[in-house]
Amino acid sequence: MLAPNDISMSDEEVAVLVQKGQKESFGILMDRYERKLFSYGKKFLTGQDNIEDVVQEVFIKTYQNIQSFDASQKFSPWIYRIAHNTFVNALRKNSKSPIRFFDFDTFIAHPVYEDAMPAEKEQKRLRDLIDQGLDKLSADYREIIILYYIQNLTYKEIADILHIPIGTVSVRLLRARNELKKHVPDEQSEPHEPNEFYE
Amino acid sequence: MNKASHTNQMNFMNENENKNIRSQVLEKITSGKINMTPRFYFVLKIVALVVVVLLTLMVSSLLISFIIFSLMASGRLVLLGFGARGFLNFFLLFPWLLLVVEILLLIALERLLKHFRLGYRSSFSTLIAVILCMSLVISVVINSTSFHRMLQDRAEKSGLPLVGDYYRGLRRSQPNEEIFRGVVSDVSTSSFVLNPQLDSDDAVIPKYIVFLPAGSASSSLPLAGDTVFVAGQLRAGNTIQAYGLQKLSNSSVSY
Repeated sequence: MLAPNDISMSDEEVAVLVQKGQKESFGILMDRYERKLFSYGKKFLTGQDNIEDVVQEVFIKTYQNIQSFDASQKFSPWIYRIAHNTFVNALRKNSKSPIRFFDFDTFIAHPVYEDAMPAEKEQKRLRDLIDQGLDKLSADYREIIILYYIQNLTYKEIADILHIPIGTVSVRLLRARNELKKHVPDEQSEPHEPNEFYE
Repeated sequence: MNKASHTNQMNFMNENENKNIRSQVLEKITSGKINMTPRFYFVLKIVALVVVVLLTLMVSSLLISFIIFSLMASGRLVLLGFGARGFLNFFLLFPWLLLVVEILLLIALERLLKHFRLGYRSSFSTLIAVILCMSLVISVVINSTSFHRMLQDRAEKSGLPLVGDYYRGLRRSQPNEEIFRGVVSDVSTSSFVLNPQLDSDDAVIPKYIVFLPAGSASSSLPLAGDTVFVAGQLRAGNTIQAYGLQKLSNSSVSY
């Protein structure tokens, strides 16, 4: 049997250990996701100074609900789903403007267009573009940019996290990119693919 | 700033906060301040959700089957074959309230299914179409049985709690809605006498003289003893100028 601190253990295997009562193994999952969730929260909850509390709340909810995790599925979308719900609640609590609840894009089925791999030179321009325009986007557009370009998640994983069809991920990402372009100078180019700068 | 230095800076900024989060959460876990919700709670939740989904699907199917049954039993479906006026009357007499309730049920079902792992991967329209198809298939199965007819008989004879009002009167003539059902008792060259089925509360049941729709051949007159459905305006002297006439088959009569 693998030791709890074995780095070769998958998230799912560690989660099973926690489910079986090895509470301290939860620390391994926190080690693996702290930075990612902190980065996600910090960029998504712009202007809020309680990111630490919110991320802590995510981990508490994750632990409390870990028995509902199906180890035959991937752990990553599951914990990101909890993070998404917690962050949206935090946004609603602190935002004066209403958060869009209904998305017309989920109404009809959209074809999926996965982006092609980008040239390496695109990555710096992408970082600059997101840096300049991210906080000017609405929450739903901001979040999908973060999940795809900063957290490097796939369309399918994002669909699992946001509970929307994969086609809607594609359409929303396209709209978010177009919106981002409106908020940055013309010489900046459109992003094409996730990068690792914010990991 | 290159990629490595940027990453290092981010790591340094978050390090203390992250350690703090980790230790605080682990302290709460080991001290028992926060506990795992037991697995059976989630199993019960899923079972409850499945039961609610199945119940909602059943109610939705029953409602669709009743809408279809009521249109057939009342003869309103026949109105669609009576030209523009019949179509308009069908539109006005359609049980819209039941349809609105049905749409709300479908939306509720869609919301419930979104809780399942596969539900949210489909678009709203796809999921609604799938649910609607399932409800329609089940409703067709229900209508192939005598389920609604039994309820209707019970509602008319001994009364049926809650839904009895929806069944009573379906087979009766409704003069205010310009639809009549009854048995032909006497036939002349361009008209016939109709013994209508009215609400049982009516003390005196009148007989109507029905004039054929304009342009109808006398061969289209029903025979004495036929059960017919008539759409037309009731005029003075208990006469009806029909704009639509349909002989009801034995299967229709049973409705």
